[in-house]
Amino acid sequence: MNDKLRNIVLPLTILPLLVACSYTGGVSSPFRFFFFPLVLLLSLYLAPATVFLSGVIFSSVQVVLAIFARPADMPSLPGIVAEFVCYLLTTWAATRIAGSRAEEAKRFRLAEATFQGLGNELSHRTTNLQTALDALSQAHDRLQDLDRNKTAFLANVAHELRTPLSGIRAYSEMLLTYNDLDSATQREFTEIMQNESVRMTNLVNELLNLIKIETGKVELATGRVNAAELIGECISIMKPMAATKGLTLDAVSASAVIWVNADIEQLKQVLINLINNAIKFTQTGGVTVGVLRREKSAEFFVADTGEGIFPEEQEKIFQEFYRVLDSVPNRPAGTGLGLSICKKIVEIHGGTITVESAVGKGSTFRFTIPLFQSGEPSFLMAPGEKPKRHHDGFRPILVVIRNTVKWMCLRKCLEELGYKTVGALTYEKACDLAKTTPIDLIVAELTNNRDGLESLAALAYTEGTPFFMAYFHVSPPEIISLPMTGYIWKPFNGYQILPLIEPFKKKRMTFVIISADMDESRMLQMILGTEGHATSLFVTVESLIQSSASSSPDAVIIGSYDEEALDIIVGRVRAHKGLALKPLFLVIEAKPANHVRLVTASFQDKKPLLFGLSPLIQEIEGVLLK
Amino acid sequence: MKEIDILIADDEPHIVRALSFIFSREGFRVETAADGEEALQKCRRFAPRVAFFDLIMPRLDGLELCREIKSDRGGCHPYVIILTCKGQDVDRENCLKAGANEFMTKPFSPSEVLGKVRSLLDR
Repeated sequence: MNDKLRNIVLPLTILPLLVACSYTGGVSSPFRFFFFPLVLLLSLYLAPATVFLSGVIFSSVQVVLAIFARPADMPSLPGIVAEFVCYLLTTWAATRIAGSRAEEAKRFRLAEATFQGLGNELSHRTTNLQTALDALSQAHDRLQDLDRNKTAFLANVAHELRTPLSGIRAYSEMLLTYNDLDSATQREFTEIMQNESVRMTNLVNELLNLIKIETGKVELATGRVNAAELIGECISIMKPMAATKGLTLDAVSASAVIWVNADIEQLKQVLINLINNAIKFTQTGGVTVGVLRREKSAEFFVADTGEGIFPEEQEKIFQEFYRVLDSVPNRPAGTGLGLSICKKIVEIHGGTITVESAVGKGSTFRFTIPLFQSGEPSFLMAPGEKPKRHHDGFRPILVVIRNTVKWMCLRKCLEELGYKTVGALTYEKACDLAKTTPIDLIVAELTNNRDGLESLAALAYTEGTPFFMAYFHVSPPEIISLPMTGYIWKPFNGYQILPLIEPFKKKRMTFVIISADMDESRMLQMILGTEGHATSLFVTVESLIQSSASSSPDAVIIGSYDEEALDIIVGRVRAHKGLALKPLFLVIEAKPANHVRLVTASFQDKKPLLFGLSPLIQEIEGVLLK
Repeated sequence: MKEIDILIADDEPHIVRALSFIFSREGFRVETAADGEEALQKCRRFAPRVAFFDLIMPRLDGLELCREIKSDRGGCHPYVIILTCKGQDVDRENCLKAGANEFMTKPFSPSEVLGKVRSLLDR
């Protein structure tokens, strides 16, 4: 019911009715019996104050009537006074009852809202838990798979080490046991032992190499590599081996120079491994090596005229320790690791390796390596790549922002102040980078996609790296600022919210809350409402802007949105005359770890510092100069 | 049919060379094979009394070879010793199931192997 109607209009319309029934009916009127119950009821359900007022007016009319009009059966003056006192007592009692009822109803609504809020929170958390559980069981399955693979790998390693070892053991024992061996046999046995120990050494080296690649410990020194030049170099290395088997080894030269982005030593190893295999498995004919330009990568190929590989074996040859058995009567020596190393190297460069083969005709191995892009952004660094220069003894600041425009602006801003920066678009990438690159400080943007944030925060904590987080806003042209006066995280409670608004020293503030999540905004409304603050809720930024044209709120609370939506809302709010200078609060999904510092734009003398990053810069300088 | 004492089948030439060297020196008659198929042929042809098989061999692996030989009706049934680099329990079980008489892992000691053959051939 409309409040105005309920509190004023209705009681006042009932007043003439009361007067009329009293006046026309007189003392003996049956309406008088209903008079006090009617007052009580009206007081309970309408506004007691208005009923009281109408009672006073009513009694005054009675008195006036009693004195001047004197209708026949009008009660005496003391009777009217007694009636008036009764009337007062009735309204007073009714007021008290209505008051306590309203209080109770308010408490009930509050409890209901709290309950509903908790219920929502609970179901939200249950969903989160379920998601986490699913992720965990997936991770568990993956780990089990990995474990099985590891066990198989170890069994294979043991197996592969035993073969050369058994040669060494058998021949050394034979040399020791038989004293009558002629010198030619002695020499033969020693040579076998020598060869087997070389084979074992190669195996151990390749294993170590493989482990290094597998654990990501290979530091790729990527740079501009001339593909044809590299092929030429590999061919000159392998030419003697081909020549002893009477095979040809040639390069197919491309018309234009192809530059690839690769670690030259690693790429050379891939080519040499492939050429080595090709020569080993080819008896007549030759090997051709070349490179072709594709859309975004260069495609290298090594083609031979050897035995070829059976289709069912073509997938397996890239597995560790897999060696082609059946197709070759006298299997050439090898560790069974060469191709799997090639595959790993190609993959860490961002390429793929494939094989085409026809039994009896030969095989062609192809792999891709990304082309070198001259304008490659320097902040997207490969793991392990170290920055080339540091600024005045400071190590770089790691900037983690998904939005490239914001990233560029913040970098420019920091570099103009003399800081060196490195960057990553996601927390995960940042984490990889932070593990390999020395940094002094982390500045990250608050986003609702929190993947990798925890591990980054944990890394910063263990390394003792200061970690700042904030919401950044870019308003054209190229001005990056910290618009938020404060952050509110879920689950909401009065203890975290009320200190935020305390500095404004205003008992009754009006807030506008914009959120797509009604649970979120209702919960905030309830918490602020219990402290006597007024709130209005909006779902769209248009409705917020429209309403702000007529009334001016004291502060704006923005609910949890994804980055793009948030940027639009902040942009609209900052562009609106009535809202631009108001304190802004942002809802974030969860409280960051304790050592992460949330940076806010401070309010001085109730006025926001509109532009620039001064609070952030002050914090950074404060930390770094220490 | 020429009878021999020992057949050695392994795709690693050094292993074949070492074993045949030891046994020949002791006067045993030895035949060698570089793959499973060849071993099967020689087994049928020479009827060895003891056979050493590797597990992983081209064309026919040790397990298959074992089954083939043990299922040969009226053929020879040599005492089969699997001599392999695979050392897991499951490998041993598989070999014994396939009909092998004994399972030995590499690296091996030549004198031990010789001792075993001597006791089997009773010399």
